[in-house]
Amino acid sequence: MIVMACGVVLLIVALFATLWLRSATLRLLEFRAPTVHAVDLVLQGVNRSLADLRGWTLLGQERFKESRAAAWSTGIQPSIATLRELQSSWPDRDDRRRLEALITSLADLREAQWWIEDVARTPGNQPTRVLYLFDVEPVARAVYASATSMIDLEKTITDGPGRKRFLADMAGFRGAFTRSWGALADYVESMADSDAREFHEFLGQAKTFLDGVAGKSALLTPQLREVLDGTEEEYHAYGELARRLIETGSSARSGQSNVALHLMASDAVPLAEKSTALLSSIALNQDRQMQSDAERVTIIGQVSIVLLVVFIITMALVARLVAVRGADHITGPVESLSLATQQLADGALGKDIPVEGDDEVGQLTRSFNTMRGSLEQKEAALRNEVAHTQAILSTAADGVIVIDRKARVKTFNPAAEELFGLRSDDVLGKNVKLLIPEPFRSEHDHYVADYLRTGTRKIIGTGREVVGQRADGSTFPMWLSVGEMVVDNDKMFVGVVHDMTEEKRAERELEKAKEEAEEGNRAKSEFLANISHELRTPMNGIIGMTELLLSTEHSSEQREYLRIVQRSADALLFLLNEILDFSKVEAGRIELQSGRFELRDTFDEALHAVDFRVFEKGLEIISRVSADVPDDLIGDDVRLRQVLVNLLSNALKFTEEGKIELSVDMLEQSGDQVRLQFAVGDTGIGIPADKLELIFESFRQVDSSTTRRYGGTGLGLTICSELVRLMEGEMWVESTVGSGSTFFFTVLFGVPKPDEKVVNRTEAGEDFGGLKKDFNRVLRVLVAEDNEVNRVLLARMLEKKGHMVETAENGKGALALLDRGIFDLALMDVQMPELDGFETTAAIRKDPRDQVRRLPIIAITAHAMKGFRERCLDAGMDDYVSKPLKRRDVLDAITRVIPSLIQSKPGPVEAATVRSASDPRPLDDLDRKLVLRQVEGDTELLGEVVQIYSDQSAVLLKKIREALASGDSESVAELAHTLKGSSGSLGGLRAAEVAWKLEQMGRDGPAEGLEEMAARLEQEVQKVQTALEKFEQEIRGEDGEEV
Amino acid sequence: MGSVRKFILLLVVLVFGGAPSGAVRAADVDTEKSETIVPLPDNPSGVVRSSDVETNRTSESHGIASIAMPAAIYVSVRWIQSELELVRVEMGKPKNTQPRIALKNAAPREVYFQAQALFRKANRLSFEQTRERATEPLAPKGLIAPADVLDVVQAALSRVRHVKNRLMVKESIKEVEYDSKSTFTAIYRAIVDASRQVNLMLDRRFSPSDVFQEVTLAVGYSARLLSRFPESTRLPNAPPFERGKQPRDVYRRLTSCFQSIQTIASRSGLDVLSLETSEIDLEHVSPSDVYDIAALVVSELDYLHSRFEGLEPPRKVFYPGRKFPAHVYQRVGILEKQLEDLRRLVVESPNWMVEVEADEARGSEK
Repeated sequence: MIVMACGVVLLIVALFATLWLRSATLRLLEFRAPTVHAVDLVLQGVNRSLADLRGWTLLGQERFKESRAAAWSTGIQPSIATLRELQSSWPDRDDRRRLEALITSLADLREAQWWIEDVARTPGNQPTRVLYLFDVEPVARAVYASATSMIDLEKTITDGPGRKRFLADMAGFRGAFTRSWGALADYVESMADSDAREFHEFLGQAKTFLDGVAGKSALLTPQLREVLDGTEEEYHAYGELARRLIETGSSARSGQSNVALHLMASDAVPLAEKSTALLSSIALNQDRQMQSDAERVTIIGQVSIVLLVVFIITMALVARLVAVRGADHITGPVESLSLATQQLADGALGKDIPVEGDDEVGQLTRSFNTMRGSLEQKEAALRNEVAHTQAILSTAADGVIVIDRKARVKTFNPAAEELFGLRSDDVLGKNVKLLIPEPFRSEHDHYVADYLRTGTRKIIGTGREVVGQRADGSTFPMWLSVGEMVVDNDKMFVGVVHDMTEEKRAERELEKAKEEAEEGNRAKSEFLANISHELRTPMNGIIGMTELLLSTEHSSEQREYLRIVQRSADALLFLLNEILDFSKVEAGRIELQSGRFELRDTFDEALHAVDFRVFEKGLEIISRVSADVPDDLIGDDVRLRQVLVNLLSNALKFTEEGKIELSVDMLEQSGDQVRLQFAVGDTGIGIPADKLELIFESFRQVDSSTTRRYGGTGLGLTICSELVRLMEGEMWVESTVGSGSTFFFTVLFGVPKPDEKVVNRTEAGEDFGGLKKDFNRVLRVLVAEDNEVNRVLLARMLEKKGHMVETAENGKGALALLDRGIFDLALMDVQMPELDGFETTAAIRKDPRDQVRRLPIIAITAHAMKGFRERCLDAGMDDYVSKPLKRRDVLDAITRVIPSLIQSKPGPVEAATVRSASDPRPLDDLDRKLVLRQVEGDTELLGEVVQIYSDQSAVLLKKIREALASGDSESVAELAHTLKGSSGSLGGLRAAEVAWKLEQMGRDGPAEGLEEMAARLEQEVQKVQTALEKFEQEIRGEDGEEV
Repeated sequence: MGSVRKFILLLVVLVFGGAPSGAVRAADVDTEKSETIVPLPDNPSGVVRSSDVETNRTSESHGIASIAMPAAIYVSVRWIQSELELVRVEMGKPKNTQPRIALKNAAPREVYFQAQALFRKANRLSFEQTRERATEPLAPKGLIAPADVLDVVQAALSRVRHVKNRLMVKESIKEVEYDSKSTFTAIYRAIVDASRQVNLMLDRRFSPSDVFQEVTLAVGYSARLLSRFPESTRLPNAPPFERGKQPRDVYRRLTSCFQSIQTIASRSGLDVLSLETSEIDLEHVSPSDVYDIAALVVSELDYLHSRFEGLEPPRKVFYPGRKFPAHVYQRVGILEKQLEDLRRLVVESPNWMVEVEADEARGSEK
């Protein structure tokens, strides 16, 4: 304990000595040494700045200026800043005062250097030079000029006695003066006495010559006298100034000939010396401090070393004593433990080592015994685990094969033996590829080697169908799953193989059954398509002819029979369509058409389809369209109508009393799309809850009695729900037995952009007085159709609308008709003998005549399948109507192609504006709205067409008069036809009407009243012109007011 | 001695009367003769601003006579202008047509430096025409008094008359009109006019090199003033050289310097001249005009400098060689930086003059 206490005391003393030592060393390092270093840097900077200043003064090289600036900015100033920071550590206050004085002195020095540098390389640095430049030289020039003038004047004077000598004196004066001037210039540069002497010498010579000139007063003319006076005056000034210059030079040579050097000596150097003295004082003081600190550090260091040596010796003695006493106590048990460890290493886990004592060795022995017991238990568990694994392998249904990294088989379980027909003894240790047929066998070693090299897995960790080879050489499909394991740092691969022979056989049978089923389905679809085609063609005749018959005179009984025929045919057609639609649904071949439509029109049409039957059953029908539902939509209105009509028909079918409600609400609107919810409700028999899902299945109704009682195919709702699904919606039903049902469905429609509305409406031809559906224009229509019934049907249908129709039995006949006459439209059957509709269309589109080549063609076909319409359009046809032909479909198609006719020729517009004569409403001179629509509000265009109309109508009326005079009524008709078109297009409805009458009269040949009608037409046209001009002025006036 | 003589003459005139009309005889201002007579205002007490009256040695030594001094100086300047006109006609030189400079509150010290500029130009004219050059009157020590101004103006008049005599101009000026309400501001304007006229008559007109020297003098003054602040940089680095600068650019930069001085003076409780810079026609500014405003800047800096006793005078400047306005512009850039720094320091320590005096007082006690 005494030794330990001594050791601690020694350590504490050594610690304090070390801290003291550290403090003194830090002071030396952080304060004294940097101070001395900074002082040294300032000194160096001052010397360098002076040297650079001298260099600049003498040599004038820029690098000296830069170096001097650097001496201050990188040397002196940063060091002064360092000294400022360090001054607080200075023990001597005088040093701080010296530093302040030093800073001021350095600032003065720097300023002095600036001024010296500024003046050093300027002319002002030499006072004599300034005198020479500003005083002497101008006067010298004046003297020289004056002398030259004098000589020039003398030269003009006629030669006389003494004049040559006179001139020589003048020249001598100028020469001597010039030499004196040169000597003076040399003196300014050299400041040499020899130059001064030379100057005086030449100046004296010049004076002699000048006196010589002045002395010859007899030779002086007044003009010469005047110049001489001036010369003498300037010469005198020159002499005075030059002498002053030399005096200045002489005094300057004593020390002030160079201002910069003078300032250097008188100003900069003393300031530098003052600064250096201050710096030296500071440095000396700091050096003294540093030495004192260094001595202190040395002493403390020595004391520390002595203390530490004593401490080390003491502690060494103590350590020796403790080691000797403790060694014997520890080694005995350790030797016992070492022996037991050796036994354990040899695999003897039998007995525990006796524990002696509770010290570290005792604890170690106890831990050793615990470890031995644990090892014994784990060995037993391992044996059980091996037995368990072996049992699994032996009983596994799939083969298990383990191979090492060289593909040698390590495990081959009984299932594998059975699978491959090999005993494990025959396989173990051999390469696993003996189980693999060629060509995979050759590649197997590569697979393993690649994987081990690159680590890229192909099969490992997954499963794959492969081919195995039995002992007899036969092969079989098997599913191989390969896993990877590491045993004793070596990679092993475990393969589980499953015989797939049976699965493969079942799969082939399933595939075959599927193909057979699909074949059957294809046959069914083809049958449905064919049967629909075959049925629709005769239906076409039945419906069309019935329609025609109904339009003729019959008794009421006959008419009733015909209506029954018509309804039956319609029902049959409906049934056919349902079957056709269903076949499309089943084949997934229904595709929607997207176009613009007005929802409320579609709503009305759907209601219209059932309203008669509703009326017949005495039911009430209510329809509602929410105000926020847009009317103008983009979607497939035909399919929407189909769904609505189907649901309404169902509602009608199952409702005996009460009402049927049809409504539509807005569900959501985002961007240019809306989702609408439609509902068709009734107060009918209702549907049991357990049948609600059933009714959407094909060929299913609520029960068989329903089918018997209410009829129907059971396909309608299936088709509807599929159509709704295609329209990105869904359909469902809510129903209560006895109270009625409500069918809901949602549909996603597009909403046209505002600017699209204008364009599309115009394109659709709906802006022409709302007369789209009642198309009154007389068209020249060519009908090409091989089926006589259809041909007659089409011709009558169109003729009853007032059109002129010519027919052909095939494409050749159609082309022949086109060669003979002009047509506005062609209805073309696609399938015709000799030359079909596609070929005929191609020939028409290649025709050199514009009228023929641009003929609108509507295809007629019995093919209702999708894709045929595109095929027709691709072939160059303009539209498409499918059989059986319906008047409405045909007229709609004609209406659709008419806008293109309007765009290419102005004629068709007239049809929309000519009213029947029976219309009792009076006509105005001008339909202003129509005019505005025609020109789309463009006042410029209005002015232009009004002018054209005025010019054209004048010509036409003149020609009509001429035709009347010659009795050419046909020409009158043609001219009236043209005038009718143009008048009608510009809103002159009454004029168009009169023109139409004149045309009709003219076509009937020369008749009475033709001239009166022509005169009336002239009046009406005049009124139209007047009204148009007035209207144009009004429009322009409005524009002006707007401006 | 000259000032004392003028004072006695003035006193005599004041006591015994004389020149009661609004005209002064030529003999009264004949500087070529030994008995120089200065003019007498009609009503001196009503025309002199209190700010125009320096309270230093002038007022103490001259008493009431100094009040009459502005009119006397003004008459001398008018005489210079009249004599110059005769010389100009004789030499066939162009007449100055520049508009008068717009300013307010000019003080004697400012007029002094303009008079000094006038003298230098007149002296140059004298050398060019007569090969004789007079010695420039010594700059007064301490604050500048009206009498100092009169000395310099008389010296300039002497130079002009010397030229006139040497050119043997026969015509003579009999009398000049004077305004008894003359102010130093009016004198300043008149001197600037005369200065411009002399410059137009020189063979070697005042050039950028002359301006450069005057600006360098101002830099020297500023360095001395900045030395009062140990932390300051007395002579900052020159700004980058910018080619193609015109006298108007230098003028504009000097105007900026002058504004800095106004702030410094204002913060220091001093009053300086007010220059209407907006009315200056910069398009027609000549180096001579730039020299005049440089002289104005120097005058104000001298004024500030004179507030410190014991402060080293500015360093002497030397002929710098041929200079372009761009060189002068660069040098004014140094001055601008100095004044900006000084202004900042004075704003931080508006009592800098008082503190300095206190420090000096403390120093003397020790």
